[in-house]
Amino acid sequence: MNFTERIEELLMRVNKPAAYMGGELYSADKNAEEIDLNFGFCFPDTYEIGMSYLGLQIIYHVLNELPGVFCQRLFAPAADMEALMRENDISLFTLEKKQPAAEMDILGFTLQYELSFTNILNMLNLAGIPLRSKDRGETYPVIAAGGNCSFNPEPLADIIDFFMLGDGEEVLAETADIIKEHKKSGGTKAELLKKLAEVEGIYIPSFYEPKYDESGKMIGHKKLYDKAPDRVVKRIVMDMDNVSYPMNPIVPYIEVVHDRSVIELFRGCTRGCRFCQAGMICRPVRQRSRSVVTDFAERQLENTGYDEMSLLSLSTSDYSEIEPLVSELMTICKRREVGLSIPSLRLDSFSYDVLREIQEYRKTGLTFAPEAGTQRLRNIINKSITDEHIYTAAENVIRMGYNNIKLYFMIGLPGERDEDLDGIAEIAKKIVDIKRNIPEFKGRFNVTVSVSNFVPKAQTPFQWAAQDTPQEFDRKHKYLKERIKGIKNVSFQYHGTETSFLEAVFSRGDRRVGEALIRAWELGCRFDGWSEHFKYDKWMQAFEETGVDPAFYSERVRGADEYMPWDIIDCGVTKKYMRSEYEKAMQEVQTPDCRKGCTGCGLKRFVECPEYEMGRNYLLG
Amino acid sequence: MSRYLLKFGKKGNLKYISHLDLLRLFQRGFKRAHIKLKYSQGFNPHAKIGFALPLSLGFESEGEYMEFETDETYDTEDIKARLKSCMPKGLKVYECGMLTETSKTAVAAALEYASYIVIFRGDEQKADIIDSRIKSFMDQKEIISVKFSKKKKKDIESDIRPHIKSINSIKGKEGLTLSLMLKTGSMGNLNAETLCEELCRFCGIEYERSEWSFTRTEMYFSAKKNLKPLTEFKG
Repeated sequence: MNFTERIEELLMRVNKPAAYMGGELYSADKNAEEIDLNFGFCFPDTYEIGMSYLGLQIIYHVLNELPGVFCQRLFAPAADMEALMRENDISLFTLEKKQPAAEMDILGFTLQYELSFTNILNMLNLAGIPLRSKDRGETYPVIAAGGNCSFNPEPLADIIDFFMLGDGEEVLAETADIIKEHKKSGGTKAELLKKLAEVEGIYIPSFYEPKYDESGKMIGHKKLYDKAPDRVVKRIVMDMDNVSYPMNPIVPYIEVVHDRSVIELFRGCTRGCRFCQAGMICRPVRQRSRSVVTDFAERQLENTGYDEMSLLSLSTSDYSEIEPLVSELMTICKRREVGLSIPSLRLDSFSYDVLREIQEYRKTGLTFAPEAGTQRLRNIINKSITDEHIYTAAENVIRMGYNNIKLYFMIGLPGERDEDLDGIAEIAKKIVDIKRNIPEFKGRFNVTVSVSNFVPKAQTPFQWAAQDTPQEFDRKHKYLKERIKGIKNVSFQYHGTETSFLEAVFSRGDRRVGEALIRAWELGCRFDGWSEHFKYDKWMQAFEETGVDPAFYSERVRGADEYMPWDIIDCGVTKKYMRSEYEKAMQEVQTPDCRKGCTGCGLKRFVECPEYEMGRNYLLG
Repeated sequence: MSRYLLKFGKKGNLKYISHLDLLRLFQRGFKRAHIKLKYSQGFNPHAKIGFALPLSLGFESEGEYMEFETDETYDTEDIKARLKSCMPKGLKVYECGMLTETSKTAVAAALEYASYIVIFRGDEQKADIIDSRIKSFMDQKEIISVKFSKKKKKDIESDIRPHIKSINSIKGKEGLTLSLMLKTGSMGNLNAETLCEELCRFCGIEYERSEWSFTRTEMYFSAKKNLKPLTEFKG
């Protein structure tokens, strides 16, 4: 039996065989003769999650457009498949050609969330590839990573050979070229890494050595290779209209988390919420022109046959021409009998016309994200909405006939007091009261308060802040539960504290936490983001055995001048700016949206920030 | 309004996609092909698509049928050509015919038999045993199969013998090939896999799923006491 047949043997015995078979509409295929470089795109979670991620579709498309490059997909197998693969000695394989992962020239992981890190190790292990870069000789593929979590690459520094920071479209093409050339001319991996070190946006951890003081705090990166950059500046693609975008995204057979056509409106966000990593590392705002967006929408719908389309960006309603755009898209979608969903509409720039139009199709619940319960705390986090905005918006949507409102909050934010928690309950109660005071709108009504635990992230103004202890989170959950219990028609949901704690350790960890990561994987941890797989006790054991104190990373307030493990990466926003934002937070002072005037975040060191007219909605807010 | 009957095949990797996946594949396929399906009325409208008989996960088929309705009328050759051009390669579009608009008989209700080609790829000794025992298997008055019913939450016994019209076997280089004609539809239904399990049990051989491959080849309805392939069904 050949390798493919051996895989097929297993497929009839697993829950979701189609997640491993490939061959979907628009999946790539190339002949062996035309391939100079085999690129394995690795998503460290299951097929259903990975295939919902736009970045995968973009990168897959960009790479397969390159002559001589063949990009194939690899996902983390679910537990049933993993067990069978191990039992039958089947290596991790690509979906397209069923090739063992180790036969790729390069494996590129996308880092979307910290809790997928153990899956990276598991995938490498399933591929028969040693986990640590130093243990991988010349014969193994070079291991790369990119994506948001690369903005603190240090926890994975001993595992990943090189990181790509920022927008991937250009740097991937350059990297593919270099590896292709290198493969042709022959040479060692060390030589290859030296070539890659000269590419803007590439960080090669083995060219730096971390330095620590006696107290264990990191004090710097010592360069081990002269030509490695002092700091690695992220890549920025400015021209969103001409950058490659998939008109033929792969259409999965099985149901995936987001099973629809997706058009990216813009990258970046000008709001400057101080907790938000994406809002800092994805600057500046770069829009796709309206005509390009509508053209992409038509073409994707034409090619895929999807019956739903969604727009993607950090803050959809900040698109400068959101209203004409939405009405054009509505026309397209109506003609094609396609549902349009517009996520992340903001309370303070809410377009009720838009909502009214959309609801002709679907009237489901609505989600608002005030994030904090009081104005004072919203000032701290720089969330510009007011109580009045929230209540006006609530009344408006109730009058439109919505009977389900979901409110998102974070708890454990810097400077939070119990009165801020009272504020959360207060908002929910007032919304229910608003509904009661509109007598003509009778019927079932529900407000859901959903609370997540604040995780301080690297490369944000709150990178200096401490996370609440798990005990404190538990107390706050209980406190809130108690406050909300008595309010009729309000339900309460919250996230587990243990995963938030772990996320905090890795989001601001240094290279030492990488050892705990490896140990945790050895102890059986994987799919940590899935509550049914998460093994807190194993994690604690791993920290203990590797001498890592997780609280050092999660609960400690960093010194104003403290060197951060991720300071080696320049995300575009300066540390100085982030520190000033942190200090303004402590004084409960907001910083206006930078569309109203440059706030000097540091991005202009590298690019000219495009100036877009602010949408009408925005001005209303 | 127009009603159509499409004959299609599900080959290769597509055997791993479920009935619901297939439905979704067709809905998207019709959209790509610009064939507007008729939607049901009501609170939750859905496209008017109906399959003659679901295919078990892991089975290939060369004889699947699906009926669908459209508001405007399309040329059947045109439908065939358009669907062919926008379906993934494992989905074979064979034929498209029109059904009588006035008749309300669903193709699923007319269905009576389905034929299968089953290949046993296990070792030759076992193949010989199976081959030699088919006649005595068929000569039994009754063949009691026990299946656990999820609905009733207990084992249910049923006699499958009346549902087997014929079993023919040929030994070839691929293995032992059985060609089956089995009762199917609302008047009684026998899954080819259940039959093979019973056959193995009768032969004293352990049934191992991976040693068997199943392909449905055709579906039949009866017209004037003759069995005819569904391609001839007009509603």
